[in-house]
Amino acid sequence: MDDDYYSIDSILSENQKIQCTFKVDIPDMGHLDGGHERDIKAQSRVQLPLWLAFILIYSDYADFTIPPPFNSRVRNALNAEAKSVKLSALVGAGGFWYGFGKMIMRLLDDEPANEMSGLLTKSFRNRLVEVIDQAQHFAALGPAGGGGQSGDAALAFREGLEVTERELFLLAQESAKRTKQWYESTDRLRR
Amino acid sequence: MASAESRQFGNLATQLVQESRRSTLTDTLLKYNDSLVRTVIREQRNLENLINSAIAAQADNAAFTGDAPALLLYQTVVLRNKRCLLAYHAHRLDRLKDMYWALGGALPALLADNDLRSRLSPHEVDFLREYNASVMDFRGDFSAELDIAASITHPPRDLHALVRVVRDCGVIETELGTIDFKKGQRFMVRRADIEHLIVQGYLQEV
Amino acid sequence: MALPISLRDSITPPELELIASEELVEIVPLISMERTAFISGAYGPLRPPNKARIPLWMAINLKMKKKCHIVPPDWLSVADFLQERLTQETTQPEFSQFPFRFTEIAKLLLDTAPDDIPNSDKIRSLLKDIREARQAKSRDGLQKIDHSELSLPNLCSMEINEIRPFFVRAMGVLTQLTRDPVADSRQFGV
Repeated sequence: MDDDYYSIDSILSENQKIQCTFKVDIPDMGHLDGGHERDIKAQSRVQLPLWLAFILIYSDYADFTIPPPFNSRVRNALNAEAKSVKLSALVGAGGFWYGFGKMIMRLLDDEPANEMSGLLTKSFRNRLVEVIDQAQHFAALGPAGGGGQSGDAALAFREGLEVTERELFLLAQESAKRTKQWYESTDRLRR
Repeated sequence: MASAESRQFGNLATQLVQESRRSTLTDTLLKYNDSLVRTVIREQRNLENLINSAIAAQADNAAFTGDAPALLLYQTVVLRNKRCLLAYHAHRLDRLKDMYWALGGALPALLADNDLRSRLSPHEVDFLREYNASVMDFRGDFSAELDIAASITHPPRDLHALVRVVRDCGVIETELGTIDFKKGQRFMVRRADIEHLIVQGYLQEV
Repeated sequence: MALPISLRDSITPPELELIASEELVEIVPLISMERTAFISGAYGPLRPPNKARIPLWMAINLKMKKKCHIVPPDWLSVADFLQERLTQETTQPEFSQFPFRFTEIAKLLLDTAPDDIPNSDKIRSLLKDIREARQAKSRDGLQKIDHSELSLPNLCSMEINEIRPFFVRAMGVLTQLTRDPVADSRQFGV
């Protein structure tokens, strides 16, 4: 999620692919497509990882289309009920939906970039309370507690968490556990 | 661009970083992937050659600009590979440092672990030795009043601790005189005298 | 020592307890002691039955050896006071005001000197109810979070500490997702 140079997560999140349409011919680069052409021709479409696509788009050698995890269907679903969307299903297990969106946002012009930022922050905030609630619920159950009464909707929500949300879940769960442990510990046995 | 490995620039470096991710998720240090590191470095040399010939081609024909995007791409891949290589190594060093401190800076105990040893590159063993030397050097500056390698995980409550011996650790100097800690015995000792033995797993607090 | 992994996300409750034990508390000593200098200051003299103010850690140490009675602070000794706070806490939207480290101090005293606290069981259960009412409020506060600020006045040290790891992280994420024209002009990746 962050831009830290050494961040493993940041490096991997830039591997998400994006569809680019080249605006220029680039000789000897056909291999980028994994294809058999020797050269890349203008107007040809290629799926490229973001780390590579970014500089091409930025330098105006290529255009891109908004990737499926951010298409209008997904946007509508998120706007209607953010908690019901399985973000992990959009970017694959271990995928970074927010990190992906952030990079798309950086490639967009002002207006669509603001829109993207709005979509990302709104979805994040609408889901955050549920993430934390569930994490604290799990921490309260203690080591023996399984799914318990948490229900199908809660389970589906947990399965739909993307990597950044999953991290927040763990942070909240650990913190709640630490605090609970302290409250429940007793010093009355102290000598 | 004959070999298959060069067809998708950056893929191999990504594999390295995926190993780092797996290492974090499983909380283990995987074996140092020497051959993959070497292959990525070979890819870097290959890219350097491609860049040099692209520059040469451009110099031959002032009007020819078709290679500019290609140059940009090669350079991007070089920088990406470099970032992956550095992140892979930095991630391993971070894990090694954590393991070192988890043992309270007991380097011999760490290096005696043959299973761990077999997963390290020779450079990583060198790193641990030099890191340890730096820490010891720094630690010596305070040795009279403070042990900077002492555990800080739990704030102290009492000056003394009741401990059980989990593994024999031989004769140790304490304020009560020398004690021969034998497995199964219990002692009430000054915490500062034996803190390091708890960290290294010889003693356990009761 | 390099910071152990378990301490990286936040300060731990036992560390907060250690910090809180520096606060001064009133005791009735059962032994005499001359004024004594410590790193944090000089305390004493202790002259029974005169009250003295000493750090909590020292009071607990003496209490464990049955060498003093601890005089609990007002907010911990009167059940009516806590009862009123609980009513406030459950009827008002704001957090009611408590000493910043009240959770730690209350627990230390209830654990080590319950016989010095009148109605200690009642007080223990009132504190638990207050804690739960306040937790519900900090959850509501989470809904108001954005990338730059979050204001929850009167939140106490232990409460701040519990929410700190994910509040900090969540605000960090929101900072990344919020558009900043200056940062956007930066180059990507390298």
